[in-house]
This record gives sequence, C-alpha cells and structure tokens, in this order.
Amino acid sequence: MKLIQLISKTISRCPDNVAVIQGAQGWTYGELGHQTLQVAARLSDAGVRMGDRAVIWLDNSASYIATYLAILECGAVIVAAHARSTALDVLKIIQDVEAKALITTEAAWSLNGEALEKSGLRSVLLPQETLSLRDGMPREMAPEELAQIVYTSGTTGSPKGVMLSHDNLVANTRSILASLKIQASDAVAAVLPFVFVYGNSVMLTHLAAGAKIVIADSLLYPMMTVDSMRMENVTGFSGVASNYAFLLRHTDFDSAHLPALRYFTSAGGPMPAELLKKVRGAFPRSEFHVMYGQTEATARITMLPPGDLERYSASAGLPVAGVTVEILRTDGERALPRETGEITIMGPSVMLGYWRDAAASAKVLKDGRLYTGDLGYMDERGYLYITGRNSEMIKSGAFRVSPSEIEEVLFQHPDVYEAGVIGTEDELLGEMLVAAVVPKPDRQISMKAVLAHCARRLPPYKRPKAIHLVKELPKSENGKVLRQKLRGLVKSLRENRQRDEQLTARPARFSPHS
Amino acid sequence: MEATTRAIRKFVIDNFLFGEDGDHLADNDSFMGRGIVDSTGILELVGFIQDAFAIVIEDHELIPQNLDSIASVARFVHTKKVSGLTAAP
Repeated sequence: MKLIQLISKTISRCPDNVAVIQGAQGWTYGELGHQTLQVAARLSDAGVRMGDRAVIWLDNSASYIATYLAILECGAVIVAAHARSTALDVLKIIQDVEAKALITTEAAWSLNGEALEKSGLRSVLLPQETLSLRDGMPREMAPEELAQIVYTSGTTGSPKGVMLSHDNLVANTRSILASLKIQASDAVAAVLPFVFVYGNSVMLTHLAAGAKIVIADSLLYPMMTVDSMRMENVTGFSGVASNYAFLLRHTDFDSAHLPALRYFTSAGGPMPAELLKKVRGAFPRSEFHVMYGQTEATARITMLPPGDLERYSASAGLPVAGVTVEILRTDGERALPRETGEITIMGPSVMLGYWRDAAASAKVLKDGRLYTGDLGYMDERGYLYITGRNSEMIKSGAFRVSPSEIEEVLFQHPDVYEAGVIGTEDELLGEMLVAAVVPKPDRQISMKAVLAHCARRLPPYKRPKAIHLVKELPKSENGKVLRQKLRGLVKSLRENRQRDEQLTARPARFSPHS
Repeated sequence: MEATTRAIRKFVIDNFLFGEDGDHLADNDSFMGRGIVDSTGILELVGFIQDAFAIVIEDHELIPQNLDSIASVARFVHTKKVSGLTAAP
C-alpha cells in the first residue's frame, strides 16, 4: 500500500475529526485533505512530477503536514530540511537530491533567497499564498518505490540521505499503531521535529488513526506547551529524554495538570532510570513505552511494553511487529543468548539505502539485513539490551550530530589548525557539544571568533556550546583523534577554569542547567 | 527604557550572534523566526535578565510575548520593574 492511500482512507473515514491544532487554529481531516489537494495542484503547476524530489523547509505546522501529503499525492519524493537549518545546509540538500521545488515560508525566503537562487531550483512555493483548487494527481507509484529521503548525520561528516519507501513508512506506521493502540479519540503533542523519523512517525501514526495532532513546536516556551496540552486534552506525548527533563523542571508536568495523558514514548537515546522514575511518579496511571530505533529502520525497532518496565528495566524491549532482530558475532554467526554482538535487523521497515551512495549502503545493507552499528545482546526471552554504540554520533536533545561534520566546519576557519568535537554529559540535553580547537602556529584566535564562525554556518543545535583552545589534540598513532582522551582533557580544562573563576571571585555566568 | 534595550541588544549580539550581524537585527525581529535562540538559549537570556535587572522571572512568564524580541524583552523588563516598585511597601 502506498502511504498516501493510508492517510486518504482516514480523510474519507472521519472528515469531521480535528486533524491539526496550531495555536488558536484548527483543521479537520476534511480541511486537511482539501488543503493537500490545493498544494498538490500548485506543485503540479510548478512542474513537480512522479519521482521528482521536493524539499520542505518549514517548522512543524499544518502547512508542513499538508505539503508532506501533497508531495505524496503527486507521486513525488519528500525531502525535509529542519526549519532551523542554515540556507547553506538547505542548499546542499537541494543540490544533492536535484530538487524540483522548495516549499518554505516567505520569511525564510526573504532572508535566504539570494543564496538559494544559486541552486537552480525550478520553483519555490510559499504555503501562505492563496491556492487554486484542482483535482488530485494520478497515483500510480509502486509501494516499494521511494517516498521520502530523510537526512541524517553520518559518522564520516556530510549528512546521508536515508531512502524510505512507501512500504517502509506504512509498515512502521502500522506496527506503532498496533503497539500504542492509538485511536481516533487520541490527541498527541507534537514537540519533535517532523523532519526526523521519530517526529515523522508520530505524525504519520496519528494521521493514520484519525487522531488529533497538537502542534507544540519545540519547547522554547515550555509552559505554553503544557497549557496547549491541557486545553486540547492531549492523551499522548512522545519525546527524547531531554524533553522530559526540561518539562519536569520548568512546568507543572504531572497528572494533576494533564489528567488525559494516557501514554508516553521515549526514543532517540537512553532514558536515564532516575528521569524515568520521576516521569512515572508524576504520571502514576499512564503507560510509558521505552523504544529503540534508527532512521535506517524507518524509526522503531524495539519497544519495551509498559508492564515490563520494572522487570526488564535495562532492556530496550521486544521487536515491534514485523521486525526481526538478530545479534551477530564478528565472524557473522548468530550470537547466543546474552552474548554481545552487532544488532542487525530484517523486515519491511529496513531502508532502501542511502541516496546516491552505493558504497555506504553496501556497508550497512548485507544479506537482506540492516547492520545498525550498535552493540547489544538478547536474553532468552528475546528482550534486547543495548551495550554500546559503534558510531561516534552525539545525541544532543532531539538531535543526532556528527562530530566530524562540526569539525569540518571548524577547519574552515582560517586560523584553526585542527579541532576535535565531543559530547559531554548534560543534565538537560543528554549530551552537549564541546569543541577543542588548536590554533595555527603564530595565530591569535578567540573563542568568540570561533563561536561566531560556527553561528554563521550551523543551526543552533549543531553549534558547540563551549570552545576550549588547546595546544594539541590527543591522537592515535595513525593520527585519529582519540575522543575518549579528549573527553578527559576537556573535563580537566573545565575544572581548571571553574577553579580559576572561584579564585578570582568572578561572578559565575548563568548556567541554564544549574 | 533605551538603556535597557541597549543592554539586551548587546547581550543578544554577544551571546547568540557572537558580535556579528548586529546591524541586521531589528528590535522587533522575532528570535524564534530568525532561529537565533534555542530552548537553552532562552534560559540563558532569562538568566541574564534576572542578573542584569535584578528581577525574578517565573516559569509562567516564559512566553514569546515577553521574550521573543529585543523590544518585547525591554517592555517586559520595564513592566516587571514598574510592578515591583508598585508592589513595594
């Protein structure tokens, strides 16, 4: 089945259900369907045809959802860029996928139009414009064909485009629907960016169920998020660990204020036991689903049923419907129960491959299975335990950031000789990006100049929060930065700095995490 | 209020734009719309306001009407200071 058919069924089945709430505005499924056709007509007029790529550069919004569905309606391929991405990043994506159209806001276009015009784009659509109604487009695309490209930070630097088919997205949507038992009467707070697979999965599962999506874009203003959740009787919340920590600290995030909340999900990195305990204490009657997933697997791989939280607290759970998980030893043989190896998966949610990167695809897709790069074991009952990650990715808030990508940006500074980026423990973000920079010989460089350089080239979530100037980086014999040793170096530099501040009785700078 | 606005502008430019592009930032430009701050940035801004203007910001006051531009922060600080004076015995 094609993805658009899954959603079209909902639109036909419950046209009067509220589909999206954004601030004071709301759209029913009927209205969403209408808007989808309008945008699809615009895309068609702009020359978008079956198989073409169209880039969405919008915040979580009703416009984002209508545009997403409209691209599917045209038989084209969705490519979404994070709303806080720089014009340079969006330009790279546009060129990489040879996009036929970009859908963005007037504000973003007026700020960045000059840079984006270089891309040779055929068309730019601004969702606020009045659109003309037309019939839907033909739907002849095969389900196994490409529906969406999701850019995810790769360990070697540049983000990779993960190719997901209609089958991938439908399979993942159905297995999550079955696990969470999402109904048309449910309402979810959408705080996770739709552009990444976790947020994308939240959006698609609730659309498929005919449920209500309450746009609560980012947690910039957490009390407003909780207020809108209360007003809309939100029943579900999906977030990463830092979202929960932030809400618990700054809002009335408990069952007394949000009595309708019946389920939570957490993915995108481990949920610290203490934090999970606090959430469960605040919502004693709600179900908490711990999940494990990967973009290359169209989001979810395993889920720990709420009833197993106590007994299997360290586990990432059981495979979701349709997914097979196997642990392989380094010799390629299946590991025994409780024997650690690489986590591999098989099933309809395994990606088609990386966009125009056959070599990278071949490395992770072998013999009909996805090699996740994560290490773990399964117990005798099939519960998965993750013991380590092969990759060096930093998980900061809801984002996965490649240290190599940030290092490449730092190298572009004319006075930087070399740089190393690591994630340091952070109570709210999980991990915080920190850079160690070695200046070129005889060059003066300030931390402020390096931060300014990053601010011009990186969106806020990819910018290092602290820079340390160092004489050299710890390296292996073959010149590779030893990140574990760099962590130790950064830790001692930070401690020295804190001690100096205390000695000179300088007032400490406000720390949002204090 | 001019001095307040200047102090806020300086903080935003120094800490979020790192001293650059200040000329292109209007007092009414939305921090959110321009992608200038993220959720931790907002808390840094709150910390600065509390320290620099000796006011206490409650969680329920963390709303864009108070914090989403240089002008709105200046208005918010002004209102808080006036209400503080009024409330004083």
